[in-house]
Amino acid sequence: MGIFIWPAESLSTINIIPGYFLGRLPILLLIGLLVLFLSALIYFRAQKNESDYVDQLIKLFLFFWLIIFIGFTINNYQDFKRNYYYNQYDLNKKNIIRVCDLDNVEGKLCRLFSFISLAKKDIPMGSRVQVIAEPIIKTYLIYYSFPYFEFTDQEAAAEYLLIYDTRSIIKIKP
Amino acid sequence: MLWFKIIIYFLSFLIPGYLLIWLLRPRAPKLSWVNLALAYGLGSMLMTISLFFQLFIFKNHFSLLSSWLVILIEVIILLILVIRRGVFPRREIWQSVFNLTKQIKFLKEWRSIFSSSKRALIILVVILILINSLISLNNALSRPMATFDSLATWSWKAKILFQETEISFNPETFFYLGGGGHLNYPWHVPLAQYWLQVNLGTYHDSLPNLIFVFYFFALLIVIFHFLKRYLSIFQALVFSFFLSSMPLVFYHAFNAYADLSLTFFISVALIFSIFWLTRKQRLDFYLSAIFWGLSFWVKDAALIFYLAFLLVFLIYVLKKKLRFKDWVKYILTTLLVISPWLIFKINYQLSFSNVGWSWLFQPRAIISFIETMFVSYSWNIWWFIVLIVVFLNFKKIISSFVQSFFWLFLLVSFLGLILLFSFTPAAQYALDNTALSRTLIPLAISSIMAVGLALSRKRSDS
Repeated sequence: MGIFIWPAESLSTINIIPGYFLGRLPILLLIGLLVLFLSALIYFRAQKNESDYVDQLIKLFLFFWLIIFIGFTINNYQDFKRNYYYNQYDLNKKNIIRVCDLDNVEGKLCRLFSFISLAKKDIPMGSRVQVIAEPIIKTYLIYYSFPYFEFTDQEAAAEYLLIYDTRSIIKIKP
Repeated sequence: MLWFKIIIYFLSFLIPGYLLIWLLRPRAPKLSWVNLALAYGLGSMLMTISLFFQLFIFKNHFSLLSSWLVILIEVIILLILVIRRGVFPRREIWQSVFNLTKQIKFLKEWRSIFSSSKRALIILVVILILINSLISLNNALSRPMATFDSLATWSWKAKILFQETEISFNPETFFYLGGGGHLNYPWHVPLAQYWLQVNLGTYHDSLPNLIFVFYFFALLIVIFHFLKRYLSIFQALVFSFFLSSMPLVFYHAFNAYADLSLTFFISVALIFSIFWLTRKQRLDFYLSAIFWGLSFWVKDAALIFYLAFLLVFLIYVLKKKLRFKDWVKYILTTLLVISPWLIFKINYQLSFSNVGWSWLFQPRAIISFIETMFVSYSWNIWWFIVLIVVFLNFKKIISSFVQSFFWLFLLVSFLGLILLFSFTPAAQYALDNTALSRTLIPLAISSIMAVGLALSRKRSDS
């Protein structure tokens, strides 16, 4: 992973896009402080000359914006290429590829689809199932196995327990 | 056939949306880009509120036929009103199709307006905006919805409804009140997706992304249109480019989350509030309050920004610059728009918060704020730009009625977010860097408008 290059879907949490550091100093902060300094220069020079500084200021913002934008563009270019890969496949396969790309829980999300296929073989369609898994995994498991199974949060009401842990096993209620 | 169904889906709310906007903005150019953007938001909201009434208030099974019948009735009523009020476009519609004649005139004259270096910069910025838009559209169409909150809530609710065709009101069932991660969340986003799915006739995992990418385009249009009033074309285009390439905002353009739709409604509410403060026209006042109300149908986070707005409004009432009567009217208008959803929430004891209310101080949450704004790449250098513009224009901002109102709103909203994420159990979302940055999206987009106002050489109070 380079300074301007994010791996596919590394932004997937859509919560925060990590910054980069030069040693212990954040690059964005360095650029920001430089923009702050140059903006002050432009402003005071304009005050002295009694001229308008807005266009110059906006050009300065644009210049420094484009520096970070390089990384954004490289990432977009990679995403664009990745989309060609996606578009070779049908929607089911696309789901698997994207979830695998998004997987930041040691491949547990990616393996989910083979687990669901196995579960569908072992448990009759429409059975009432309780899912036991980590909260994130549980969400994906339920979403992708619905509506094949019915779901319940109550063990007493469940016909089957679907347990997905490191061993990815199906436990059938006796 | 698939594309035909998608076009029908968009027409199903663009037509009523257009009619509604002609009624609400009778003097604005009929087929302008900004009307298209507003029609998109208003029309899709009208559609989802109709579905909300069918499914949640009247507790009906979903019926495609009756839903289309509702749209037809809406269109007929709106059409009658449009014709009776004389706002139906006649001859001018062809002259003003998306302001084409004005735009062609501008293109003919632009060599004499701008220097060659500025022309080159304008071309560069326009190309970059177009590339960003095309990439977001390509991503939306190629990638199925799979990000966490989408599968836990927004798309999951639509998927359940697609299968169940009705809302369960039995608390014992797994799909009580539509199921999904948070029962208290509003329904605009799930119902917009659901309406697309039922029109397609099959549950599709990637096409609903189109809803969000078009919200992104609509937001770009309204923000550019707003900035163009106060800045030169070049300046307005640069800030629109910043909007289109803020990494976090861009990423939300092709993922099924509610934050971008929320930002659209809040931004439009703020734009109309600025127009009202400037022009003092009642229509702007009511439109602003209505759009604030609509934002509550998208996401509960609207409450933080709305309370900040009301507080600033009240401060100006106390300073005798605005009237108390207007403050009350504003709240009542917003309440009227939210009332069905609010009554539903009260009736089923649904809260606005996911984590309950208690006070605890998490100083590390403040560091998370600094990290997301000034260290992460989520916003490029946007927050530095905001600080610079405030420092350089401080005197101008505090001496202008409109600008001081707007910047104070941003400050109070920001303090509200700090209060929420540092002093309540919601701090967990700041500490794990999940919801914090997303919640800043409406603030980031509003600050683009504020920066535009501050850099304007036109008087914003006139």
